[in-house]
Amino acid sequence: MNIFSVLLKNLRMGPATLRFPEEVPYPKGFHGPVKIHTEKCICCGMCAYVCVSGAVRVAEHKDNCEWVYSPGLCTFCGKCVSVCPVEALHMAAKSAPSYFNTKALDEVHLVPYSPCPECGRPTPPVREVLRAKAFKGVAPNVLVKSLICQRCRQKDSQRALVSIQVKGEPPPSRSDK
Amino acid sequence: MSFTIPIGPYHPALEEPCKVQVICEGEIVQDVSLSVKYNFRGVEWLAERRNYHQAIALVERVCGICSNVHALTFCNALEGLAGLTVPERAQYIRTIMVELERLTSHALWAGIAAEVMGFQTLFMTCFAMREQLMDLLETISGNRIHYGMNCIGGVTRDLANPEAVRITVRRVRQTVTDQLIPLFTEDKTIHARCSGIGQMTKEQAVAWGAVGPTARASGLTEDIRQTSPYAAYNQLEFKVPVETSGDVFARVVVRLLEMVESCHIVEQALDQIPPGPIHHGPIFVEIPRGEAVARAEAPRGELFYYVSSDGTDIPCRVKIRTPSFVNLPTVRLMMLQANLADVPLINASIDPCYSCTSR
Amino acid sequence: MSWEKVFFALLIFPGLLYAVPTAWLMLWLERKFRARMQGRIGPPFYQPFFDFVKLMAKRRVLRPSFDSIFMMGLPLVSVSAGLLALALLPISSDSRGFAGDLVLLVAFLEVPSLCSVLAGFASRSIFGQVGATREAILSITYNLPFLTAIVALAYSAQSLRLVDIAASPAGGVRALAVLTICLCLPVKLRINPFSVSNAEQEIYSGPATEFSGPQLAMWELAHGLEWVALTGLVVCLGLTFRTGTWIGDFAIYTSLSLVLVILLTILATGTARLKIQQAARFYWRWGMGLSLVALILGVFPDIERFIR
Repeated sequence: MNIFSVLLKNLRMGPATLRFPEEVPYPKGFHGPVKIHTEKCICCGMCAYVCVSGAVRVAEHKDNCEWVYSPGLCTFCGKCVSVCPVEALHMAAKSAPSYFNTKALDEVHLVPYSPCPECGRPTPPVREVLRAKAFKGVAPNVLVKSLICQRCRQKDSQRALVSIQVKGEPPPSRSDK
Repeated sequence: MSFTIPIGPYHPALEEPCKVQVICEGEIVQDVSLSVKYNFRGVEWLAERRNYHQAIALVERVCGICSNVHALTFCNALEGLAGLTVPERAQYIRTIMVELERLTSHALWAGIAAEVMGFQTLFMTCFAMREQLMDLLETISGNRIHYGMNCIGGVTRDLANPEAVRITVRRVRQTVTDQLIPLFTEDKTIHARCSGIGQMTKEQAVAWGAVGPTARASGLTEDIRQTSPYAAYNQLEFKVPVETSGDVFARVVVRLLEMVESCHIVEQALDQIPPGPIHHGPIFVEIPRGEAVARAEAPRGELFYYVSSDGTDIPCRVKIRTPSFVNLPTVRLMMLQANLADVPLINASIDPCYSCTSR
Repeated sequence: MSWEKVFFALLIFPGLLYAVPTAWLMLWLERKFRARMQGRIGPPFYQPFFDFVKLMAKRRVLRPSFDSIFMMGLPLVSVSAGLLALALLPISSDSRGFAGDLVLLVAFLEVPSLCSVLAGFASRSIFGQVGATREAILSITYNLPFLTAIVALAYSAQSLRLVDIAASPAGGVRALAVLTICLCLPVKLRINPFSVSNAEQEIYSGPATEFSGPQLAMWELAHGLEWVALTGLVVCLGLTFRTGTWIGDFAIYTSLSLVLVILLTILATGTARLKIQQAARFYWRWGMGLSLVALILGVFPDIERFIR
């Protein structure tokens, strides 16, 4: 095939390019900006740990957790989405709009803490997905403990230790309280 | 009268910043000095301050063209350190990704070479073909350039639609065999520009340490995919094209034949790919104290990674040696006594990647 | 030749009023057709005009006064030479010309190239200087066959008047000479495979590297006028008949020029750039060979008769 037949073929086939406002549809599974379902988030901070450019940041406060995302810093590698244990993150099907400064598109999402069933202090939420994954095959009376806050859990285990080692009694079960 | 012509740092024939200072006597090159410092980002330094997961995404950004092979080699080094076995399916997916990336890289190179020769139509043909590959990679990985496919112990995404890969690869192979190979090898003006230019003998290639297609065009049969297979290469059959004339034309031929061979590898991998998991299990793996080295055949030649770990989640030292780093000095050898008009072409013929070299 | 006719030729047809839009049209046609052959969309037809307006509106770069005079003057000289050359072309059957206008035309056609060489050196850029050197070498290269072909034409028509050459009977000499001139077109227009002096990947745009704004606009216009003048020259010398009506001549002249533009574009699109030595070798081998045959046939017309 010589060059002139290529030229002729191109002439016959018409242009392969598009004029500006037209665009090629994004493929399925495109890596767009990261989106969060705050009702699924457990504030574990995995996404912030793997993020190379610091686009995803997680800040813990007293009664909620702040999930901050800057598309301007994002490299769209999808690492945060793939490590999220509860599938709270996904990527948009379209690329981010253009911006003038990196902060213009910043998103702040608040993940509210739920009160601890034991002491009532706000505690990072525990979702069913996580319970199903992390507490698989655990006795139902222990499974209930997955909802309580860290302090209460520490207290609980201390109490259990004390009752076993000092008093020689079986640990107090939840139904006793 | 001798005069100095600066080619670069910003120049239409170079896709990246690089300065080739040519000292000319009329149109004949007397001496050349190269400087590739314009793209320094301190990737190795940064990698020593990031945890392993971040470092994968970071080393992927060493290069915009051969990004995937960087991440792959880094992951190979880490998996060697942690003693992980990567599932078969993940190995095949990695192979497919790397070969598709080689295809895009060589397509880009062929386009640039044509452009440097002033052959715009051929440039457009190459880039139209490359566009199909980029679209394919986008559908596989979600990204057009930095695919983010590799992670420690496997890949992040499964190959959802192998048929799409097969169709595109068949189309690309057809374009290469029906259009690119005849055009590059039979066109008179291309022949006039390429043959006998930028000669490098086998002895010189060994002495200057050339790697990859540049070395294979001078008669060396070194290919990491065959000499120390990684990913799924030990289960695949492929030839390593070698030319002996050692000029720019030989480099063109070697790369074009490599493209055909890559299509062949991808098709084989699609036939043989087993079902199964794409990841070895837990996302977070402890990297024990120790050192590891990994090598891979990037589109431009041998890529080398050294990783040293002290048992924490942050690497102690990451050392990257890219193929362009060893290939670039040969440019000086090839350019001496060349014609000024051939300087950009000789420079392009080794497929230099300044972004890789400078890091 | 009356004054009115001179002004008409210079300012209206085939001069300013006709030539400038046609120059833009040809520049557009070249770009558009090239784009289509490469599978691209290409610019809309008004693009060269918009480019011109945009460049004209750009701020001038301050330079030493002597430099600016040179850098504005040279493209203007180039544009005027193109217009003057066009005015001399014997397009319609009623154009008369004057004895020796062939020599003047050849001189005018050479002016843009000369200006380009001077501009390259005047711009004091290393790329401009290399480009100017290349342009100068090429100009020697292609002018040898080009001038030989012109001499052959003039000798066989026994006249230095363009009208006489255009009216001379068709024959081997004329065919060969026009073919040689055609061969010289790509290098005179600096398109592939002979775009050596403005080889973008080697020396940016050669002599025009340092030019910007209105100066560059003028170079672009001069380049467009070169297209019009050179294709027009080939059509005028190659076409052996005139329709007799002004409109008919105009239509044939314009359409054939555009066809020539398309042919040149196909050549430019289908080739890589040669090196200067290769270009020189081509012209001294093929161009010179053809034109020498034409000259010999022109000087000894008996040979042609003998072959017939």
